[in-house]
Amino acid sequence: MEQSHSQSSKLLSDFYAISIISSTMLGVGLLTLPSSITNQTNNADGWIVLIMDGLLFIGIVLFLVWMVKYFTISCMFDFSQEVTGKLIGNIFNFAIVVYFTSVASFEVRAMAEMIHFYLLETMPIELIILSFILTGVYLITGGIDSIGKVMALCFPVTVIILLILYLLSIGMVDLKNLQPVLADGFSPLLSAFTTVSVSFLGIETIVFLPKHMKNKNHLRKVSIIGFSIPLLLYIITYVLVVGALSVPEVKTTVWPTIEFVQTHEVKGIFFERLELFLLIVWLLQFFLTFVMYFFLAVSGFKKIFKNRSTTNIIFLVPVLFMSSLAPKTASDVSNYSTVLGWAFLVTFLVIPLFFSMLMKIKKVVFK
Amino acid sequence: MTKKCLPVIMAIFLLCGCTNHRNIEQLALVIGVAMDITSKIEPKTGKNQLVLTHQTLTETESGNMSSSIPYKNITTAGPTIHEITRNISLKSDPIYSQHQRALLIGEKASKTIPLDALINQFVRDNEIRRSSLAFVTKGDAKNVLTIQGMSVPPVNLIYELVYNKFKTNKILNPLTMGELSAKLKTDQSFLIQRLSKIKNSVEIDGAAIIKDKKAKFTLTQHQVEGLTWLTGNIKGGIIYGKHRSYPFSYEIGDVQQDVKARIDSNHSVHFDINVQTSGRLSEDWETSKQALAASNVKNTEKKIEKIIRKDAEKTLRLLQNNYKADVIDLHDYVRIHHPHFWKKHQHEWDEIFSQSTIDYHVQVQIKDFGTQGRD
Repeated sequence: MEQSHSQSSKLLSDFYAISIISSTMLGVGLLTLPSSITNQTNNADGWIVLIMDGLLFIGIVLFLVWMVKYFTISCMFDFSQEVTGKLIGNIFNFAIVVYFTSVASFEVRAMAEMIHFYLLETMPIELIILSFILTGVYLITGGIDSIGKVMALCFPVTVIILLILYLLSIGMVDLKNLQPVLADGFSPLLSAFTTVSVSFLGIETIVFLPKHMKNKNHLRKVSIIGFSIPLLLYIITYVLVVGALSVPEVKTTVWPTIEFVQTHEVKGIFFERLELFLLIVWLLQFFLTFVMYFFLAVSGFKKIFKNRSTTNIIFLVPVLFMSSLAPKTASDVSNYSTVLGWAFLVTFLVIPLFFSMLMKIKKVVFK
Repeated sequence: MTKKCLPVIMAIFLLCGCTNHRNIEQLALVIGVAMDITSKIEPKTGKNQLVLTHQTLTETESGNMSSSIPYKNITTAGPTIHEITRNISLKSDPIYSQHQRALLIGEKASKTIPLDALINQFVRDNEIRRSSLAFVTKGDAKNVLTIQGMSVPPVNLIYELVYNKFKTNKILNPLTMGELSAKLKTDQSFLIQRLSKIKNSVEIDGAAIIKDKKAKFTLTQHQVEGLTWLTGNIKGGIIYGKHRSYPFSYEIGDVQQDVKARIDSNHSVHFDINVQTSGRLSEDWETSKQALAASNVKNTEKKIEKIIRKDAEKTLRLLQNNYKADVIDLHDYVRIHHPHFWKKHQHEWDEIFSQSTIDYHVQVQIKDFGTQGRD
């Protein structure tokens, strides 16, 4: 592998790895999740779904970490070739790369929609998208350690600013909006289960990360912490947003979290408009999620075609640009996310499970 | 080589940040909007013609050091809200609504057109903030914004008035656009504060009851006072009366409210509203020494309780029998404590509310007498 001992300084420390997992998870989900969950449950019990789904995912993460250790997987792209051979493995890898590219382009598009709506109304959306993709290219040429550094720098800032904003807006929350708890029983919660899973998009990075980590043994700790921070932020966000805006209102808003921060106004202080800060830090999160998926797609192609990163980057820029412009309307974009939610479950759950079963059989048969 | 060129190319894109700038002098900064209708029917929409009055801030002329804030009202008529706001660009700078503080809906408009239709564009718009406040007015809303001879823009005065809730209980909690939009999504009735024009100024004047998304009835200042004693949503105010021919004032301090809801039958709920208040006897025309005697104070407390109960029950009867509108949010207690009953009956709640039995209990405690105490 190209990461020899001379390059060990380029490997990620635990904090960097945690930042990467969390930053990849925090994307469009936090801004839209209150309304997408509430639309499924029709009541204010979404936070229970989040907790239950979160616990389930922690279970899955633990299983994957165990799997990574058991088969000494360093990267899913390598593992698929190891299990099914070069050709079939590459077909799987290609499918995964297509998925990564779609997520990357979806994040860019969702972000561009947000910028277009709240910040730059007259700026053509193509220009916003292109400038983001090119900025991403610049970061990716630096490799995973640069990405890790940027994430480690931005992630704590994001969390702190987000929490300060929430703290300032907490007065808007009326607990009556969150009651009654579990009045409709558990059945509406089940319908929201898959919707919630979409918000955890990004956790699949853990099966691609060990290769880049300094302490591969710490993967379990890193994944659990990296997963729990976004999960906690999701739960807090849901409670605050639904508590402040009420169920019927949340259901109809496109960006409920931004609306929630907008409802509050700090009187008399220079920065009355708090949502500006949310938009700024969330732009960063959108960008970092996009960069991570972009990077994974590039490294996937590198594995398949055994060529240089630069070639893959140059190839992927137009692909990303075109596919992010593919959905015509805002509702197309949200349909896109539903499809990605299923693709996510496949890459995160089905493929690793399938491979580990094959590997186990292989080990038994060829012993 | 490529690596060295890349930042340069990137910089070209990143430095284009100023493409969307707008000069502040060329923006009409909207601080408030008044919404009215005329009796003329628009041919294309088949509905009444709308009239919007935008109150905008204008530039101070250089050298003008007077303390008054210059403002301008732009009145425009048209078929739909967005069409009107765009037509403004025909005669003045395009309007910029990021700083809109208040929306005033005229009496006629609020009685004829469902409010959710009226505010729809405002809620969808990305510029207008959810924190801007909503009001209805007595008469046309335009008249309130165009009051002559005020040193500050009327909208700014209105915006400040709302925060006087600590001084009187004739003011309701400010209703923001976001809350208004949320309330209009349900079938429940609610209140909007009403404004009316008085000579050369504006006054908070009771409230309008929104039932079936239209302003059906109004409550006077005094009725709003009684209503706040039902909801317990009081931050300050005065109760006055007389004991043994001496007038007195009681300054409301702390108010605690507690509601118990019990399902009686399929069409009636029993409510127990308990209100506890403590405060100060801030004015007493009886100046003799015995005025502050314990038994006397007890009597005064009973007197105040009687006044409060009378006011509250009067408003309650009005709401239950005449208006059939639960604007005191009793439905929240049913929704939270009896979700199944609520689920079945939420669409006919006002009817059930009117048939419910509501027991009102109030307890007053006079805590102090200002700077004067017993000897």
